[in-house]
Amino acid sequence: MLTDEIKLGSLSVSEAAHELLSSLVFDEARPSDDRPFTSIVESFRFAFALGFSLNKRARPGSVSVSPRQFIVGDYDVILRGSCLEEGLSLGGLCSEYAEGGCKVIQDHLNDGGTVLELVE
Amino acid sequence: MKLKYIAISDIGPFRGRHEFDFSGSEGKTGFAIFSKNGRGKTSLFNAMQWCLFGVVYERGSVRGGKWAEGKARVVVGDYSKDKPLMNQDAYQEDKIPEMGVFIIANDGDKDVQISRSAKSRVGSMPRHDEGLSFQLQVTVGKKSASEKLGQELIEEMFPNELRRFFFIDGESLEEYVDLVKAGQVGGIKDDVEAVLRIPALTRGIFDLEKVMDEVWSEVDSETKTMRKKIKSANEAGDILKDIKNMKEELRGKESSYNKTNSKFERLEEELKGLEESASHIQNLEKLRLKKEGLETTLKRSSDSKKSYASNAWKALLWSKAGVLHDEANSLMGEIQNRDYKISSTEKRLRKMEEELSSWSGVCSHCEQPIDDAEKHKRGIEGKIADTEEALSVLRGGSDMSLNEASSKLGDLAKLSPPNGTRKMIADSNRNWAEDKASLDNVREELEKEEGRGLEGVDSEELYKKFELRGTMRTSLVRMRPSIDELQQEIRRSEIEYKKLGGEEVKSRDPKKAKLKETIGILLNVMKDTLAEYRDDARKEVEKIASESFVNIINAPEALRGIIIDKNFNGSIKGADGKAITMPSSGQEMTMTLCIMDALRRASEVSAPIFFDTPGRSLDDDHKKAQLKYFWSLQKHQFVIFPHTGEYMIEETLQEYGGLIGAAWELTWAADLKECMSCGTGDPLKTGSKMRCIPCGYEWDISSKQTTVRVLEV
Repeated sequence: MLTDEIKLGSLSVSEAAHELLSSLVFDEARPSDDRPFTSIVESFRFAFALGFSLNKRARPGSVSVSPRQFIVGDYDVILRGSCLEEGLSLGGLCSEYAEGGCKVIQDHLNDGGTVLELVE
Repeated sequence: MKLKYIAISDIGPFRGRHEFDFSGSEGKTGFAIFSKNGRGKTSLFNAMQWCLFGVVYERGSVRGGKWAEGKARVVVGDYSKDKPLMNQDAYQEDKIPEMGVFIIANDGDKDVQISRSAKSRVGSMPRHDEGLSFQLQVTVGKKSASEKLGQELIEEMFPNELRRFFFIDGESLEEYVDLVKAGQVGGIKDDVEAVLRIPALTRGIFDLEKVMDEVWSEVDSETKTMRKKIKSANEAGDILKDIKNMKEELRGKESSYNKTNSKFERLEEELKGLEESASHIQNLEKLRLKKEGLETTLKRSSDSKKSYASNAWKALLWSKAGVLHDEANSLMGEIQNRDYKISSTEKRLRKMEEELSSWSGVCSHCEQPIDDAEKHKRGIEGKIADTEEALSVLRGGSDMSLNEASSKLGDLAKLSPPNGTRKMIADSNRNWAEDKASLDNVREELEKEEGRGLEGVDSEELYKKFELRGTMRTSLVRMRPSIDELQQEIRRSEIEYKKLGGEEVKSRDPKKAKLKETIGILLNVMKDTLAEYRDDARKEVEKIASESFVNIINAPEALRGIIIDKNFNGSIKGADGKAITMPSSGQEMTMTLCIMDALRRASEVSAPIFFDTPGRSLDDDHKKAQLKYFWSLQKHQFVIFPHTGEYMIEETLQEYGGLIGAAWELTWAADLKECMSCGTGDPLKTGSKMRCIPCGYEWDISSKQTTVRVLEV
């Protein structure tokens, strides 16, 4: 990997996106709620993957997301081209995709859908 | 008892009536009935036994150290195997077959008449003895009796248990010798007891023992009864204790039951008329239960969804990453191919450069000078240039190395979701959504039901009461069988207690215990007396037998008598007063006859002696000595039934004529050597007939019916 040629950067999302991601974290006491992910990082990874797959990006906010469980280097292989092309850090690009994904999720939930339907 | 006259009818080979007259022989005790085999000696011998005792046994033998009679002979039956006593022609030809024996005798000064007969009561050829009518008529002096009483009269003169000393079978005698000889268990003990009439005493002891056993059994039974009663009383005490405990337990249970029941009844009363409320409450309960179930289900499906969701990001990323993965995979193939081409082109180029640098104009293979060498060299230089160009093109392609491509492929593979991830996520999500919808519906229903409420009724309170009623009903249902069971157990125990308890324990009867003790003493006395009596008799028999033996053997220097030891075994006493070790069979036979004679004399029964085949197993000297001795006895008639080979008629009559009262010969018609009509000798045999030449008389000799001929003595 040529990670030295591009910056790793940090992860961050908007407050609204962070709130959404938090609401998707599993709560044993609330099985009726659509909370399929075990942590915010898990929610973030889903949102990032959704944004990437749908090519939806948005400007992230300032609420940071812990990078310990989300190794941006793991995604170098799919993001390198864009980062180099656009001069973005990996974390920055991931954040943009995650923010874009969050919007998709929010819209889908607003339409009465469930989170995991977005995988289908 | 002395015989005066015998008549037999239709017995054995005797067809019709045949007579033997013993009268007119006063002072003489010897009698002989000679015949060849099959003419009826043994039948006559048996006829006498049958007349006196009503039964004839097969030949006896020694079994287990004791004398045992053979099986009883039948009067009629299967003539091919059973050897019936009745004459076969009489059985087959007569309309009412009958056989009989008639005896006239005297017993002291009393006249005796015995008549015994067996007559068919079912017509001709009765199949077995059950088809016969047996009759006995006995007169002794002025006494006259028939059947059982008649038999008793006979046995007063001639005891049945002594029969074997008066009816001696020469063939059985050989076995009897073995019984007498030392070594047999018990020896002649039974016989000594028989002549002493000890069997009666033994029977007395046996009866007394039986009485004692009965008394003992009663005493024992009383003791057992007493023990049983004590045991019963103890058991009854235990049962009573149990009953008390059970009743206490029952009271507790019944009290608890009654309390619960009365509460239940009050509650029932209270809840009466609240059926609508009850339905509402039941519905609420049902919905609540349903909600609980669905909540559990939803929790499970939520967990499942969470589990599958962990790979959702991969499923999403792979939509693009998968394409990149395929591209990277393809690129890797291209790089491998390019590297190979470069390698092989470089190799070829090196070879051509080497050829050019070592150029000499001579072929490197055949070492011959090459034609037009210069042209050939230019050709090689051209090829090198082309190859270098092609190599340059190959090297100018992708700058990615194989390692870099492989690394990229590996990084992309890490993003690959497990197979079927999308479907599993979709399924788990759908299940969760359905469970959630079901739960939401039930919650809505429940909310409605809870919101419905009932006027003036506190649903919660009522629900609790209904719940309590259900619990109480269950409790009552559970308590009832336990109470019923306890009541039954008490009833059973009370019955058992009544059975066991209440009776006083009586002490055993001391009179019976004393009686048992007395009988025991009496028994010991009788047994001791019997033992003494038996031993005295043994000595007496030994003395009499020794006298007879010495008399018959007549060799006082070598044989001094007979020893009957304490085990009742006999042996011959030698000159040294000890038992001789190797007696001859004749000596043993004589010893046995002398012991039998002694037993008979010790019995003091005066009756005729019948001796079938008396000379069997004896040499001439012993035979003669035997006849001489026994026919000299004045007390008993001695009737022998010799085979004509044992004792020759003429010789015997001549030698012992002075001792013989009467003699007969049993013959068949074929045996006659003199004319039945005129008495002339040497009749002529012609086929099945005999003819007297002087008188012309003819007689049939095919018949096997016996004729009795009186011999002149």
